[in-house]
Amino acid sequence: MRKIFVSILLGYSLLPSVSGQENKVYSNMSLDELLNIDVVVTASKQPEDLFEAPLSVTIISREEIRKSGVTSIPEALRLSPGLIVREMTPGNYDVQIRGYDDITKNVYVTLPYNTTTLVMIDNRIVYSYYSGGTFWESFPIDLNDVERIEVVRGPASALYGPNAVTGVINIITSQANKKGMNVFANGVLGTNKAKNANANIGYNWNDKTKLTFSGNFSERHRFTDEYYDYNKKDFTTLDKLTMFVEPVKNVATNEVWTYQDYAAKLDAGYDVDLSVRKLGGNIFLTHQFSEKSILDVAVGAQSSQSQRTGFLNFSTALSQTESKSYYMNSRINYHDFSGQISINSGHDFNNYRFNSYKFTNAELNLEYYKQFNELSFRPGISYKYLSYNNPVIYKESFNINELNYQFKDEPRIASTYSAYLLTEWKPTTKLRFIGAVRMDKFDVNKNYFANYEIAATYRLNKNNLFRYVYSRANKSPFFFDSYLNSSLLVNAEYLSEDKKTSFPIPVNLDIHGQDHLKYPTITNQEISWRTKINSQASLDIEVFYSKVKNFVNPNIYRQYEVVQHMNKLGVADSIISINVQGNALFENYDLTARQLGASFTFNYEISEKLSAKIFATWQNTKISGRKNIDFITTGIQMGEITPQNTLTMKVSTIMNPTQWSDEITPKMFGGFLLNYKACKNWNFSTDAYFYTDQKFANYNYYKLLDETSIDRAKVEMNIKPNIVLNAKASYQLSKNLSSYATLKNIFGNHYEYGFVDPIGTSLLIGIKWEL
Amino acid sequence: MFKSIFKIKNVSYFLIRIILFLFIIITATKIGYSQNMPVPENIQAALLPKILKFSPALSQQAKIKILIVYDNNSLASKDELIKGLGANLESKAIRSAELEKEIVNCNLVYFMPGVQELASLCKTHKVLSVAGISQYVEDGKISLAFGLQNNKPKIFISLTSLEKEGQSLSSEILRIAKVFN
Repeated sequence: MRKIFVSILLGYSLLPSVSGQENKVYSNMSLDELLNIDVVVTASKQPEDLFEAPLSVTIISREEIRKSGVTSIPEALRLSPGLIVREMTPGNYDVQIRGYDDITKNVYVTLPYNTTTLVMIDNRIVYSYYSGGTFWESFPIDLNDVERIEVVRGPASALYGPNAVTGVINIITSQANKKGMNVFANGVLGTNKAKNANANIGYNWNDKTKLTFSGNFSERHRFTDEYYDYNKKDFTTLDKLTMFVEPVKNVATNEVWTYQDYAAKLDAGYDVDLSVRKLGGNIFLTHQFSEKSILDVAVGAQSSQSQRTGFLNFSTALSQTESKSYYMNSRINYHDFSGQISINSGHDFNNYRFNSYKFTNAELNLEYYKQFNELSFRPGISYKYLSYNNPVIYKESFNINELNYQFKDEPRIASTYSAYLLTEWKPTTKLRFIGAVRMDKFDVNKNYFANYEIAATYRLNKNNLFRYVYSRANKSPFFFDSYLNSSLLVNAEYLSEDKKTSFPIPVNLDIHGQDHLKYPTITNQEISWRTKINSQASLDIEVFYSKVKNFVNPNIYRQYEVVQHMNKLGVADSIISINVQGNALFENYDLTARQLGASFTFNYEISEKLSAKIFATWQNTKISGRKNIDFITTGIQMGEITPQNTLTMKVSTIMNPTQWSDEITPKMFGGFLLNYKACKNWNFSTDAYFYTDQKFANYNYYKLLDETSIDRAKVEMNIKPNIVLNAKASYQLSKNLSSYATLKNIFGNHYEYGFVDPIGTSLLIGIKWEL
Repeated sequence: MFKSIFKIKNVSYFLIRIILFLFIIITATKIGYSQNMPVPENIQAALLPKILKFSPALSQQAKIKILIVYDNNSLASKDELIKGLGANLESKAIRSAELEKEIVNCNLVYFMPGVQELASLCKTHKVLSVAGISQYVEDGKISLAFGLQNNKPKIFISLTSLEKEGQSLSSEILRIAKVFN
């Protein structure tokens, strides 16, 4: 830290000639160049030229979204560099920023599901604190509500709070922008029974009061009716599915649950054909009392059903979730003060019912902004109230074998208190420093968590800007990691040394969360060069290096009670029984992950009719420390030989069931968007997204008894390199009416995520009316 | 639900410290205001001289004199704008009360948010009015303003106001601006 401060100050002191210079950057620009500047707010919480933004930021504009063939918010994120967007099942996505996909997950949720990106809608955090992550299908808004999406790559917790570890995605909604009546309606029908319908109707009273009602509906269906079976290492129909982890059903007989009995007991049905169905509605109201007093209120509700990963599942990768929620978001600006109150409440009910939960999140933020000539301050405080109700986090242990799923009026409640300060200093018109610090206190944890960010930009001239960022961010505690309280009896397979005999061993585990842990924390450095090659072309290159520490992993503490028969010579000749009792405890872990990478974005306005955007990211992630599964014997206690010639031995062990891999994140990923406006009525657009190979892995760590069992417990699936190519043609039928056709995934069936669905080609035909 | 806030002593102390810190910051300094304008001041400052080249009357002037009318809420914004204008225009910042006296010696007046009601003086003295809030143009109070459209700066022009101020702008600029009658 000290080195960085010293180097920044030294750098500044070496630039005496610069400080006296007049600001020629913007005055040297032509009128066209000035009117082509993109203005962004998420990078430093105030309007600024995107070219000067201190962090790595991309704006995905409403215009870009409409021209392209994307049909949902997460799919639109494929238009930004640095994002890994995998379609798990049609219409359901996992979105990661730069990587750490498999490393920072909750290890109980065995497949990657992003928990390290903070997603916001109009600055309202949309995040599940149960086990972390953003559930895109449960957004009440859809593309018709989006004005723009601002993507910040790199840690930003100092600005926006915990979980902005790899970045921030801020979705900014659009509301009745022109005076009078504003109407938008869009309907889409497609192959594979795809449907989309959305509409907005709003009224703008003299730009002082704006009221908008919006609604959206979408439905996607799967291209298969099969599910992945980890035991068969292949896809199979639901009636032939087997249990990967086999809880014991009957302790007396040692009989285990079959998939069919287990699903019947949980009433875990699948709507096999349906991938996602969502319905949402919103009301947005903005009223400007005066130039300095604005009230912004949004309320909405959603209902959705989807099949995706991200849940604890003992049989296959996909789970089905039905979600219902409602929200209220209110923002007030009064002079230099701003405040925000948001409430979100509802439930996510999973077909594997122990994953189901009810929740209420409430958040209050207060900020003040003060600017001197070259210096500005933005202090703020924040309070968060979280309530989650789920049977596996009750004080009474949940027995996974009995599946006695039942909600009680015993929600777990947690609060977070935060204070932050953002400062900006412009010693010269070309040089700018930004510093932010934030302290978070979670009442479930005794530790204070500090995040910070230091950024410097230097605008050499109107066409070139250099910037440097050093930042740190951490994840927040989740209810699952903190309060998990369950027990599970499974059978592990004992295999004799000569591998000729095997028999099941009952393993009884009590599984507990922990509250005073440290959480995965990233420190990141990046340097960047932005250049305008000419009036039509610009290039943005960023190089980043980051390190993640404070991993959390459940370690397994087991005690084996082995009863052996002794022969006449006093040597053990056979095992009579083995009984295993143990605890699984969430603990901090000696592991470090490092990532080095680089991204570029090239924008080219080839002509008035033709424009192109090309972007790609290369990255390399390495894990060091205790990265392998190992088995440590911590104690052996020998009993007496009984008159029946039996000996009881007690062996204590620790095993770390690490399931982290650095092979999931593709080495290269990126895409392009090409738009051609052929004439007044016709517009053609094509966009593509590509990634190199990825290796997904899953372990049944209940089967891990010793080193020899590792390979038997592991299942892998390789994802081949692929290009997802879409094309769209739009025709303007009249001033208000247009139609379009989109061909999605032109190259056909492929996998983007391990152990889940193939994604096929589809054709969508749509019609749009706008007043 | 909020009972839990007070249960934890440490956290109460933590909050008290934060509130004290905020109180010190707020009370120890004079209030500055610069958040209402969607287009940053330095970009507005660069746009303005370029637009004035499309004014037949002002483009003939050897040196264009601009008054910047501000109040206590726009101290920092006013400085940013003057810094951005540099030597392109001869700028002078004044308080509202000084406008009536100073307006006779200038070619245009820039109104910071909150003082735009004084723009009626521009109609009387036939001086061009400019602001950083597009709504003033839509209301016909101001002739030229800057706003955002599709995240990019946009020029807003009120023809009615322009006419009342005895000003005109060429068709080239009207083509790229959002024009209100």
